[in-house]
Amino acid sequence: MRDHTTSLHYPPDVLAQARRRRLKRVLIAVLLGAVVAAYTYGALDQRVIAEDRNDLLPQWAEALLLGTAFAIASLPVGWSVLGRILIPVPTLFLYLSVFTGKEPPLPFTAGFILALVYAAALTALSAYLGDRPDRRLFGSRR
Amino acid sequence: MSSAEPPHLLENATASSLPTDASAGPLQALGRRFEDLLRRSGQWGLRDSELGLLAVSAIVGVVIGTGVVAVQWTVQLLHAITFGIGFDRHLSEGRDLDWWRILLVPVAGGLLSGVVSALLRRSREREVVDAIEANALFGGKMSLVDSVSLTLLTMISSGFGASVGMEAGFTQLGSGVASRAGQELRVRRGDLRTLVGCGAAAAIAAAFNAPLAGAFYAFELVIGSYTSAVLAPIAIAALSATLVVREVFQAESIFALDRAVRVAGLDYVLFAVLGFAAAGIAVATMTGVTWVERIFRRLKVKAWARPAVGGLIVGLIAVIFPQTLGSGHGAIQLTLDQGIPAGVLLGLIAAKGLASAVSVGSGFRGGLFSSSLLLGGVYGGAAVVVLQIAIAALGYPGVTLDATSYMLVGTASVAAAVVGAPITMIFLVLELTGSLPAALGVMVGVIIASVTVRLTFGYSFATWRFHVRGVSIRGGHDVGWMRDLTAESLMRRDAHTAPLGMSIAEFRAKFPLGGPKRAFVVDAEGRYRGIVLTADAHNPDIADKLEERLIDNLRFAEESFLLPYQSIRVALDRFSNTETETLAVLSDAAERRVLGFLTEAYVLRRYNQELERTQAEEHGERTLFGPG
Repeated sequence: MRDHTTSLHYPPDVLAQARRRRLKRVLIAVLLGAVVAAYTYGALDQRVIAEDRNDLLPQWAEALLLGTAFAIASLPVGWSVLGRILIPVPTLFLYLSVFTGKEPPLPFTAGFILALVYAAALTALSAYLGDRPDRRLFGSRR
Repeated sequence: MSSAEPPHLLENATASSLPTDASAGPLQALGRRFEDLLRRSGQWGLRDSELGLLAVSAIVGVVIGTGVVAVQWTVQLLHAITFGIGFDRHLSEGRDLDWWRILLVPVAGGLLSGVVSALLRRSREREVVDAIEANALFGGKMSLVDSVSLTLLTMISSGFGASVGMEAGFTQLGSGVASRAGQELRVRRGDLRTLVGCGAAAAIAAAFNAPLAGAFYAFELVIGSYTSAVLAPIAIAALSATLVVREVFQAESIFALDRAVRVAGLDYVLFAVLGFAAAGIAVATMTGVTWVERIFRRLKVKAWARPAVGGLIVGLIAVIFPQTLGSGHGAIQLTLDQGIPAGVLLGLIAAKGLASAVSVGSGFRGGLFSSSLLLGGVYGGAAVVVLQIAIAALGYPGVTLDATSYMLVGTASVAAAVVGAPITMIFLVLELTGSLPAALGVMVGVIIASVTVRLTFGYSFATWRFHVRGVSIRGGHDVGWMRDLTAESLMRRDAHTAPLGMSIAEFRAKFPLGGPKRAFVVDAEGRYRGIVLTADAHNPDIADKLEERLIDNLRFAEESFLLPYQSIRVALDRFSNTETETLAVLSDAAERRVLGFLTEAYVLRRYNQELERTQAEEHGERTLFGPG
């Protein structure tokens, strides 16, 4: 097992650099979470049926929750898996309601398949961002 | 061949360039006759005539204006065929599009683009040199074939719905044509750079129906500076291209306003805030392209297949946000007409940024000029809603913001930060809206956005791409002459050598005072081993045992030397770092054969001369080094 006390022996500039790198990764996760929330809000706003817009929660809350789940899932920490668990099912239903509720609506089967693709893509992207503490994150040094 | 060469040489060249092969097609024969005509123009004194340059600029403008319209029509035709829209409709209006076409057409376009790119890369492996790179490093020399190929790829990309602008293709075509014309006319390096600027100015002026924006695009990005010497040719090219587009083809502007823009005191403060945030969006978009490229490389998708995968992602985005398809001109008008709901605008910021980054990052060819205009427009539209809510929450429900002015500020700010051309964007808004208040408001946002990007990020999209490729240029300013001045071109070739182990007595006999100032010591294999100064060998303090004492101990700079390809900049750095006044130029680091030498004084003199010459060219002082 790795001895965490050894990090105390690193020079201060190395520790500061590591802190900056970690902060950058957290900021990227938060930023991408905001992008997902904005994107989802815009998508949900395309629905033309009034009942769809406030089905379970207000659409801004739904978008915000999905964005938050994505941000958590993208964090380079062990518990980011919690966010990843939350993403697929709500994404599938939210985007299915977008595809079938927009003007003109997509056929249900096509909408379902595309919603599945969105759910899979968001989960995979968050996994890619979160599951690589030993890999370079967008240009950061190891 | 220059006009200074003897007439018989010109005649020979002319004769040899005439079509002699009877089997050559009429098109080839016509092409050769045109080239011949261009070559003979050297005899008419075009090379030294400012009026001649103006005439060429005007012709370039007309040709490029026509070319831009032809390309726009072709792309429109592609949209009509592939997406089934009317010829008078813009793709990014997003109306009446079949969902399956939205999904499939970008994938098909990606496949086509990838395969064509791969085929082109087989025959021409090098990177295509664009107008900025050509002017910065290559004295304005561009390949016409590369430029036409890139324009073709941009047409495929935009025609099949990729979220890219056509402006990169237009400027490539324009500056490529102008550069080729200049090379055929054998114009001077400075004039060739100006002609490249003329091509880019004409292309942008024709694309946006905005001559001032076109001219300043060339000044800010392609030439790298504004001087009175380049004003006339570039303005004439931009004007003639615009006139062709307006009067001959009756083309419309990319957007039009049917209402007045209202700007009050508070707005200027909010425009500054808008500009600051616009810088963030611009930086995110530019770096987003690089991220996407890295992800594609890691996924190990074949280069030819990447655009198809990118096309699939663009299709998935466009099924929800069809405004992201194509360059976005229709969507810009739709945004300004407030035809997109506020919530959708918020999503469209993310969608357009993502679609553009994926399109460019996956390998579709095209730029971010008009993409950034749309991105900025929707950002301004979304921002004004948020600001309005914030103002109402602060207890000023009566204060109403003019949404159009905020959209214009957003449009210009994001585009200025991405393209790296702030004055261009201010003029673009002024020319397209005809509104001075709008232009003043835009100025605030644009300046804040540009300064913020410059201080925090340091690149425009074009220079960022150079940086990622490892090319260290920050604009079109001419730095290529420094690369052209290599150690080999500058060195003196009369290097005297002395063998390692030579006695000082022998050295004094071979190199008396008043003769060569230095000798380069070489070993038995002829490898460079250092320099001995004649003055050091004749030092009066060295008076005894001259036959036994060797020059080996007087050597210096054994490990300091230059290689033939190294530039004047490297040479100056080497002189400074090694604190020597003479450096040997060696064949290579392993062989170490002495080819010649350079002195610091001579290098400095040549550097100053070239600097003066470049500045004189930029300021139009032809008489300083030219024939007058």
